[in-house]
Amino acid sequence: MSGIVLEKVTKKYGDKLIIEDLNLTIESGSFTVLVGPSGCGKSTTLRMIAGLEHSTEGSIHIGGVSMNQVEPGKRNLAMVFQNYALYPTMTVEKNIEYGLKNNKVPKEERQRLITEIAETVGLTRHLHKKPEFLSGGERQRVALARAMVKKPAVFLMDEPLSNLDAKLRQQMRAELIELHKKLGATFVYVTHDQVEAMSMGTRIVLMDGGKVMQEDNPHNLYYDPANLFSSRFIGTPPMNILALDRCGEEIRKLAPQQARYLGFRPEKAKFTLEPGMEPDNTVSLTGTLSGRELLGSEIIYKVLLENGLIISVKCFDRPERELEAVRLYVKKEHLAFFDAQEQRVRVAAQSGISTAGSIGDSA
Amino acid sequence: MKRLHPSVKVLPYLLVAPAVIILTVFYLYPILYNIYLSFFTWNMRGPMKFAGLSNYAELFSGRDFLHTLLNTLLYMVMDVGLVMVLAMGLALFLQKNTPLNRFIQTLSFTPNIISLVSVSLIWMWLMNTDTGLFNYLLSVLGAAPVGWLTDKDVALFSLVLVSVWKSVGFNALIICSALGSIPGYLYEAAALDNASKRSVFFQITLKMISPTLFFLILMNIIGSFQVFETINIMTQGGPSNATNTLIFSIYKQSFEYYRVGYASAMAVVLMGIVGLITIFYFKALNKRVHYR
Repeated sequence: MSGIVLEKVTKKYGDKLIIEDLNLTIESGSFTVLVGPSGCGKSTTLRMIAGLEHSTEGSIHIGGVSMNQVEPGKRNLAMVFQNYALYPTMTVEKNIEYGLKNNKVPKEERQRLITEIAETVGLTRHLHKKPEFLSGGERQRVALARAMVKKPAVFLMDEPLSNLDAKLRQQMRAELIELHKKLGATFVYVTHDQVEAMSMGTRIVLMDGGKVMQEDNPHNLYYDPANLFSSRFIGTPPMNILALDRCGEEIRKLAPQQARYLGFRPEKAKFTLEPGMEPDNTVSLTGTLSGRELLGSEIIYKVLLENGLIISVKCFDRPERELEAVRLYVKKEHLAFFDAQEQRVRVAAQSGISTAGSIGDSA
Repeated sequence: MKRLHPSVKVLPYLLVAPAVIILTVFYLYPILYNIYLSFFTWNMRGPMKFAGLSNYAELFSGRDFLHTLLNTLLYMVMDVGLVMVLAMGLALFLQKNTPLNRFIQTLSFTPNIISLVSVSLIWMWLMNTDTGLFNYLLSVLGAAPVGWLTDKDVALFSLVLVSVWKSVGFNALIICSALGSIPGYLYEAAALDNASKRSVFFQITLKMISPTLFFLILMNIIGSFQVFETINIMTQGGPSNATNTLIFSIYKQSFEYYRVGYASAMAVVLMGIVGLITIFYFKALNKRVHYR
């Protein structure tokens, strides 16, 4: 009922093409994350849904109704801005109340809603303060409360956590997931942080250069990237990508004909043959450990391969290895191949790199 | 703690001395001497005669001074009110940064750089009852001529017009820059909050530029108390004292009638009024005006 459909949406600033022919369906009740590097058009997309920008071409529907002629305030949505955009001249209470007042909600009702929402987000003590006297986390809550109090069908969030410190960010992430479950509204969340995208989204739309690179659930996006961009954007460290023509005969034999690149996730490379790994279902690479990063539970090694390429290997065993010559094993099913256009080439009978389910409909 | 060399102890006083000396000689001493003078009768040449509070008594008993005070306040209210409203309107109109708007902005600013004496002479000619352009235009429209500077009900307003013409552009320029510094996201947030244009103007625009408006109002109030050139050139305080303001009256009493003590008493009253307004201004500033 509050699904969002973008049809053939194009956005130009003067001659500069920001978004080209974007088709996107955001399901009602989903937590959809638009993620991508800066300048990929994710914020512009969000702002067009909000009505703060007009699309140059194409149409936007919310809940089946065309929004092209509808003012932002009449779209039954709320937005949380990156810098919160609180009204500095108004107290917290007035900030929350402003939208209700404009929507002609009666006074007693407004008072009830504000008290209720302040309770929910823990702002009761701060209702009569002005935003300048609040900490970053408290301002964030005011911004959320201001959005929530309107009970909109759609929540738009433009990097709402990027101004918070790491600890608070993690806490707010969990709270937003809770909030989404509780409200059941459609959430559209913009971020450049893949961790936020992976941890919060039920659906992720990965964008680059104004185009959708892949649209899928977090699991498939990680384990079944549709192209080189996806494989490199998602994951820390990103997927190891090797040019096939620099690889040995053993690997080249496995590759489909049109493949140009080979990729595998850093944690799929093992230093020993583990249970389930046989010489005939793995490939091996030799190289030298050239660096080591201890990240607590995991260790990331840099490996200089014989062919001169550097890859990352993530491993969870202890103790840390000496920086010396090593042999790496990767299961064949964990290899992904990409063609000259950087698109995924699937090996026959391979339905995903790992045990992933169906292949997502990649864009 | 190490004992400081005596010269180091003196150094701070030496460093602030120039400022203190200048302030004392050119600001503090004249103020105090002015207050001192207000208790004497003196014609600038003869001996000074102590008069107690009689200067003040004369001020508040005669009708002339109260008339002058009323003129000053009337002039202030009309001048500040008109300037602020027109400047605000002009600034809102010029808000979009187009070449035409920049041109209009420059144009409306030019009166501010012209000497007030030339301005007064030109407006005096325009407002001349018999030969002025204004009355010529009125006659073309079939209206009766107006005694811009000769009718005692109009003259003060005519002086206000000149002042408004001169300062509206400058005020608009300042308001324009204040408007430009309001972050755009506030308007976006308001749009999402379904705010009407009226509400956006009163709740966001006006409140965000309130420090600037407040500052301009104070500057204009103080400026309006100091109006002198236009009166001196265009009306000489007439007709029948209709444009006689405090400052002009002080000037007349001291430098034409040589009643220095009486004029000083007036100056003390003026200082008191301006001081009160300033105190009120800062009090209100702390309470009501929003600062980021």
